[in-house]
Amino acid sequence: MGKRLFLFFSAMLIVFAGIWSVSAEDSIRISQVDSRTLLINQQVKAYISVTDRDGRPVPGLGRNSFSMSESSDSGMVGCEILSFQESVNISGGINILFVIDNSGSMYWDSSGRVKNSPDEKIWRITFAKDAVLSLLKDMKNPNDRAGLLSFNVKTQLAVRPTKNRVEVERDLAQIKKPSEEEAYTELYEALYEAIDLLKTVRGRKVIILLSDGQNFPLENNPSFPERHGMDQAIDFALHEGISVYTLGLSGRADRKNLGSIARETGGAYFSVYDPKRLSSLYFLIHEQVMGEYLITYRATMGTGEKRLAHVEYASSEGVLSTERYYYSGTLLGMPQERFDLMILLAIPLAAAVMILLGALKFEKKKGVPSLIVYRGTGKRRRVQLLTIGDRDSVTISAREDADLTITGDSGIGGNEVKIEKKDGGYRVSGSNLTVNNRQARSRVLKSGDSITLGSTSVVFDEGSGKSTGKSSKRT
Amino acid sequence: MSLAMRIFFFGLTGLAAGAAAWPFSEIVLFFQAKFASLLAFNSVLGVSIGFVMGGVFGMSEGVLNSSGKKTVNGGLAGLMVGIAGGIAGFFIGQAALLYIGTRLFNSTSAFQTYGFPLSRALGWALFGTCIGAAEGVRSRSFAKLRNGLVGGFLGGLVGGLLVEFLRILSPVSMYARLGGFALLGVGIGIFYGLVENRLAGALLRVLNGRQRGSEIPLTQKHTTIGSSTTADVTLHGYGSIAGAQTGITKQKGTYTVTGAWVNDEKVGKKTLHDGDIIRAGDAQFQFIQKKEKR
Repeated sequence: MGKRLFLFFSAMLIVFAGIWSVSAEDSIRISQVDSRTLLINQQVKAYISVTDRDGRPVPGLGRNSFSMSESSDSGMVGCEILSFQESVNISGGINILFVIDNSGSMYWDSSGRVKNSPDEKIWRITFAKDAVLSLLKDMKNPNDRAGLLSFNVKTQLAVRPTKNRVEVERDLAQIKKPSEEEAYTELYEALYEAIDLLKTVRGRKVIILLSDGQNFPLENNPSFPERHGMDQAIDFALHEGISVYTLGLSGRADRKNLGSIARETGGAYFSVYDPKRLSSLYFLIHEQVMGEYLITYRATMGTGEKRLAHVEYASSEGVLSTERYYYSGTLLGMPQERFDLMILLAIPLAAAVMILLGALKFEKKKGVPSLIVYRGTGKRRRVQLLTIGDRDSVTISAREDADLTITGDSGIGGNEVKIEKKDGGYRVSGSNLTVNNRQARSRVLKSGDSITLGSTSVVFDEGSGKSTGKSSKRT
Repeated sequence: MSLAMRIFFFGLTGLAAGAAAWPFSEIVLFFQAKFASLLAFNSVLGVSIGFVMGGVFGMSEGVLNSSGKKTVNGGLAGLMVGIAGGIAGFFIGQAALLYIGTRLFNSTSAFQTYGFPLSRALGWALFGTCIGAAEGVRSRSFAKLRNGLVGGFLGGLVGGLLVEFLRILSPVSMYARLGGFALLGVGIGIFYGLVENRLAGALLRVLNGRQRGSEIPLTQKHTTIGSSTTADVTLHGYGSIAGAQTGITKQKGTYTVTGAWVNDEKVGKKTLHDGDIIRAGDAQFQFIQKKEKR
């Protein structure tokens, strides 16, 4: 009896452990963070995908299963969930990037026993190409996009997702057997690069990795100076909200790695030799996207260029969490860590500059009668000042013996004008005199009058701060 | 003051405007986490910085003319429109930054190295554009608005690039932003003067008296000259000059003067030609037109 009971409990334990492990193998991802309305209403939308170990969306979860938090200056801060929606309709199609292993082993047969067969039909790569072609046919939504990336010792043929299926088919046909030096398999680095490529694409993104799962890296590979490995590639995929579906192309030894890549990123593992199940792959991807949850929450006001949106999903079996960064930069950048009162000094300094500028006046308060010569025009103009002061007369001409000699102006010729002090004022005379654009023989000068000599003007200024009192009186 | 001096003067007032705005920005930034929303945060930044910069820019014309009344009135009007310009500037700048930044965030890292600093500089430029435009709105002049837009954009861009450059040199330096604000102000000021210089098809050179040598760009459609502080060009220290009786109107590249003497002849209204001598009261000017339409 006791033995029976023991067996019963053991069986129960196995069953429960089984349930536990199934639940624990659920996966959660933030497939998109939409911060478009952040500036308007401080709200952020997070699209969340919860899938079981077979990559199927987990339906019927409630608002209370989720909690949101964000990184802030003082650690993670909980955020108020403003609205919760299930099965949101996402338009814009799905971007699928096919990542195809083109290493040496892909030209073996399924079992790996026949390695140099000329019969293309038994090559693993042939099965891979056929699988891609059939998946392309399944992508009936015209908004869906497909891209292609093949790899062996390095990545090749990187085609960004496009709506043009023919282009993808053409590129697929270009995948040729690698030479012996190229025949390595940089599986994880290629996957990392594929995620980096897909990162630049907007919308829902999925990777379908077709490989026999045998990572066979080249030591000191110049194409991958920095190695990330499988775990980093998986983390990267999770952070970018990309699920990776894997297609096994060998009879054995590949389930472990390809399986865990798929499971941990929320994808699923398929065998290319199981065409019946494979035909459901596109539908599964579609279902996963349609089964997303949309959480709208109030964002924090933490500083920094990027902010971490963190979601936790609690089921009766445990807590799953994931996070994703979004851009939160501000115009002026990060504040000072410590406020320094010294910066306030800039205000009186600025005020001092303004007061100083105001005090400068840019004016000539005092002045004596003087002549200002403006020569030439525009930028070449030169200004020269002659103070009349106590002189009784000033002669102006091109000649050297004049009081004011104007050189380099051929228009003056032999012309000469003379300014004389008379009755407390000044009188100008000359044989060919032009004052204020008017011909004259002789006239009393008032302040501001301009005497034209060739292309030079000589301006008389009586001195400032003192009115002539005889304004606009003509002679 | 010659046109070159005007540019220098506006550059200095811009420097003062930027330096005065900087401590306000640091105070608001320091309390970023205390704000309820990004909108409130940017609004307060816009109000405080626009208030200061708009006020100083508004004062500059009065300071240039050594007119206390013009300084006060201009400053008050400047800070009012500055607030509006500041809010608009921060909102537009931040919106553009978030839009571009989010796109950059999903790009390759090689692109981000240049993309992020450039997008922030662009945000600064948009903010500068709004602050620069405020001065044009204040003076109700389309030409000044245009000057302000160009100067603000370029000044903001140069200032923003400086902040980004200094950030690379020394990430913790709080003086990076001071440099940015100073350059933004200088940029608005200098480009304001420069573009004014460029756009002015004609200018008046003061030939006598206290403001002898000053060059007044005729950028506006209608420029009034007189002893009143409400005139566009305020002259003092000259006898027999009316409040704002003399005016110069620009139309399709032709300038017409009213209420003055031209070449020693009293005119009601007269089309001006390059070299004409204009007299208003005791003040005498020479009209200089760069390209005369015939």
